[in-house]
Amino acid sequence: MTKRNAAVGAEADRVRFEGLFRDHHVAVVAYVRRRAPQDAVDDIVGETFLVAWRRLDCVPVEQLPWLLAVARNVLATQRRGAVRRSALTLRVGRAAGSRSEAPVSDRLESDVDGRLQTALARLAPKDREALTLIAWDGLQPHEAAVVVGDSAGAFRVRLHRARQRLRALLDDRLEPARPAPGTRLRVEEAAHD
Amino acid sequence: MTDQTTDAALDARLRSADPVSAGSLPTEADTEAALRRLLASGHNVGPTRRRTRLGGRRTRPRLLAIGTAGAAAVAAAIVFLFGATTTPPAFAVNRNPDGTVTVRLIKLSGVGGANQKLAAIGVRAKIVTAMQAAQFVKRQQPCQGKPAGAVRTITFDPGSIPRRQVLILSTDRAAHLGYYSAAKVSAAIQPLALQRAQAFVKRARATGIHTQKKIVIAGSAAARGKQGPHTLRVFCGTAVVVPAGAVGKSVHFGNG
Repeated sequence: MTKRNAAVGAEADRVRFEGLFRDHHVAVVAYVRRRAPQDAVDDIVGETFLVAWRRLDCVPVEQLPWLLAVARNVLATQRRGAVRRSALTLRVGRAAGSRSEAPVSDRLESDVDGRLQTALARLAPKDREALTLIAWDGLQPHEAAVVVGDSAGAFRVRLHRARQRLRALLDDRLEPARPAPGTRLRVEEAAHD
Repeated sequence: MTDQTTDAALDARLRSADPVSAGSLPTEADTEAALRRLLASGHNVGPTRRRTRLGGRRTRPRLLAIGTAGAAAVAAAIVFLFGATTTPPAFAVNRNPDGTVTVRLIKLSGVGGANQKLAAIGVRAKIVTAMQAAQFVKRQQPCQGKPAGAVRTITFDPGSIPRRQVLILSTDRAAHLGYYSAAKVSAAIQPLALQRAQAFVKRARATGIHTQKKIVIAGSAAARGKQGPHTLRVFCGTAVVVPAGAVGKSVHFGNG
């Protein structure tokens, strides 16, 4: 590649990256804020976009699901590190009823749908993830499938079952499939790889 | 269908529990500011197109940065010292018949051109400016020492650059940077360096990211991963392993 071509290419890359950033920054921030502690959000979002920049050629037409998949990986990595570093602190914090790694909610206490929160907390992480990708992040099932690395069909099944389980929990029809959080250290809801 | 209706109702109820409210999300101005910050911090970063040729993302280079004092101790190390800078052109990069490469930097403005030329001839070496290099060392404890001397030309064998690493040649105006004792720094933070080196290798592998903000490696550290040993060598002031892409960025360095 000549120097001139390289310069033109670099400029085109930059423009493309800026477009990508402007289009999806808010969505990525929202995704991360829903799932990471406040002080880690900026780092995770920054790393996500740096990956996108570095791998601009790999970004598919449907950019957002790809970006969220990257964010999910960054998040999982951050969580693994955090778990290792502070397993003990976390355990102590958990015993005291707090959750130091929890995302910060914008909601006032009075707005909180306590029953739903409890039901969500009792869901398996994968179920919770399927539900929140659709309801909170506003993705279509085929997009959410990209984020979690499922086929579209598999994700639809997962989503369907997750909704069934959530309904059952809301109606108190069913014991949760897994022990409620608190009995074991569980913060790696997306860190299954 | 009833199912769809109840799905919609369930989603609506879930949405009401969304911890993030629209009002608290970044505004357009916030997004622009974040973009500027990112671009400003990572202007050396960009798509890595030659990755496949270099053997896939897991083999992307770590940077081996070669800084200032004690450079003579490292075969490939160099200090560029800028004094009179008058003669054009600003740089010269030549491949010698014996396979070695000679870099001559005449003006600071030649850094960009020299880097392009190095990349063009496929040599994993990169020149960073003194200010960039200073970020690698500024948090270390200064020690008494003299600059290694005014060297503007270096000849090195690209074959001697360890796989997955990039030789960093640092320009240096010397006086304001301060010099650092490798031994002193190494003794102080080696245990920490080892941990962080290992953590870095893990993170870099897991995410494909080589732009960690808080990677601290000084002294000498060996990190073993699944794919074999990675030796990260740092002699503060002479050689620093930094994540690729961190060059020119704010790299926090030191015990903190």
